[in-house]
Amino acid sequence: MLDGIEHAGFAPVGFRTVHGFAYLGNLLAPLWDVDPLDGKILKKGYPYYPEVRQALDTLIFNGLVDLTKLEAKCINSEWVAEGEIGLNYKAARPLLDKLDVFSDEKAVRDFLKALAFSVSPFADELPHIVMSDVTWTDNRTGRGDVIDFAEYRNANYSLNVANAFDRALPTSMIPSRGEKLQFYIHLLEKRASVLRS
Amino acid sequence: MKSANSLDLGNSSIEEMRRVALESYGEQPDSSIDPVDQFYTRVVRVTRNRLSTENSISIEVANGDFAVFVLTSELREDRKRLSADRVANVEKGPQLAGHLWLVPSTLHSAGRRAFSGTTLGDAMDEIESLGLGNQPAIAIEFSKRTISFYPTGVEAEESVVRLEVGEEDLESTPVLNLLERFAEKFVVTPNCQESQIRTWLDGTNYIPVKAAEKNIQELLWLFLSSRLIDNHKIEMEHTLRSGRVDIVIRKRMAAGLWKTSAAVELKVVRSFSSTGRPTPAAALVKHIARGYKQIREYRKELEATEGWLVTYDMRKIDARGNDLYSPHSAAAVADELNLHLEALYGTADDYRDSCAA
Repeated sequence: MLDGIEHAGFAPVGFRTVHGFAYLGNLLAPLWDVDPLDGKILKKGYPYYPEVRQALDTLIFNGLVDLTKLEAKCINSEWVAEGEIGLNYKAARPLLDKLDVFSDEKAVRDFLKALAFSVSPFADELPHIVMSDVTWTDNRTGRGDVIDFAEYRNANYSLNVANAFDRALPTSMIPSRGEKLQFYIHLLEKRASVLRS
Repeated sequence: MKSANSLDLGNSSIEEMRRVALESYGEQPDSSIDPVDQFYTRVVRVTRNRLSTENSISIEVANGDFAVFVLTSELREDRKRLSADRVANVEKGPQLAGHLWLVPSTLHSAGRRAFSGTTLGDAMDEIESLGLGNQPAIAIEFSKRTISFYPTGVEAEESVVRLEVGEEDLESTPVLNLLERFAEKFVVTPNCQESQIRTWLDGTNYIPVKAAEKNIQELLWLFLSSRLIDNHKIEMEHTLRSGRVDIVIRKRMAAGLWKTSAAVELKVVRSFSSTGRPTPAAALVKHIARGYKQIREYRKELEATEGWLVTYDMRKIDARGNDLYSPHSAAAVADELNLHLEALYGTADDYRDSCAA
């Protein structure tokens, strides 16, 4: 994820942005024929993955990820450690190069780059934009419940929307998968800006 | 909850999706296309923006007249290493001239560093000395309205493509006019090429390079992208149900309203393969027939106003007697397709002889 974010030029990024990015990645990965790393999420507060946080802590400790800022921040009346991170290429490049040998890993890396490019115009607002996600805001899952979009159920409405863009447009404008990704992120941004105003 | 053919769209709807897609269509580069192509289109857009008013041009000219963009995949690292300032919005940001811009292909942020020299030549030397000589780069010269595109970095002088930034519109400039100007500036002879991307392996013996068609396609895409104003979207290798069309030109007529102005299928006919093996005449006839079928289907599927089959004739001069389009001329009228043949010459001598004849 951080490699994609660095390529798109919006690193360093806040922890919350990374979690939001991971969430969108899990939802939209099938567009690139990639399996999501996690097919469920707890609908509470904002998209948050304890495993991602743990992995980031380890990567920072190992020097693969640069911690450029760390502060206590009050989010939704809760004090949390917030910081900004980026990839330490000097340390990470040999590992990334090795990963490219495996086609599955390369597909994941390509997808995450494409997602980062799509998100980049709105990177600063990503934590807010994610809150407008079609699956997250679906009222069939209540707050405090687990949204299961690809674990036991097949209830990924975000992916359905992204896939249905070719039906929303005239047949002469069939979008590529990259454009579907762009359109979906724009849709979330539009929804978020309506909420803000 | 609305659905599109049984897909559960949650709390979204086809109407909302259509509105958003048409609004944002063509605004952002497609993330599935090549980053170097994206880099090029974004820089052309920024350049055109800076060349749009006398005032913005005079600001750039006063600041040294040239700027160089270098594509980086490690912007944060490069910025740190080269002590470059962080600039958040390059597209609407400060003047460009006099600076080296380290950018990702999206151009949403950048690292800026002032050049120490005063000429473009000095700037190129500085870029090489900073270890950026093999990264894709674009140099802009504002008063000349030109961009020099180095797809493999400024060190590879032989691959530079020099283009003029134009303000043309397909409503007023016919496609034929653009195709003819492209051929004249880039491909008609090896000597006239403003680009040094080669079409000929051995022009004297009429042996084209293996990737002649692909090279011409890329050059045409670069040319159209620099000539047509920003409300046009020029796509290369657009995927359709019936295949992949070489070039598609769309035009935004109003907010959210797009028209497919032209679909262009390119073909190259040659006397020899790149290894020097003769190409049978029957194979060329088949090649053109295939191209005709392709463009007929593509135009239909894209609902394009114009459909063009453009053939670059790289055959030996004495092999150019037969009209390759004659089996399709009548059908082309009925199908409302344009057939265009562009003769390319392996040497300037042959071109001159042909003009004299």
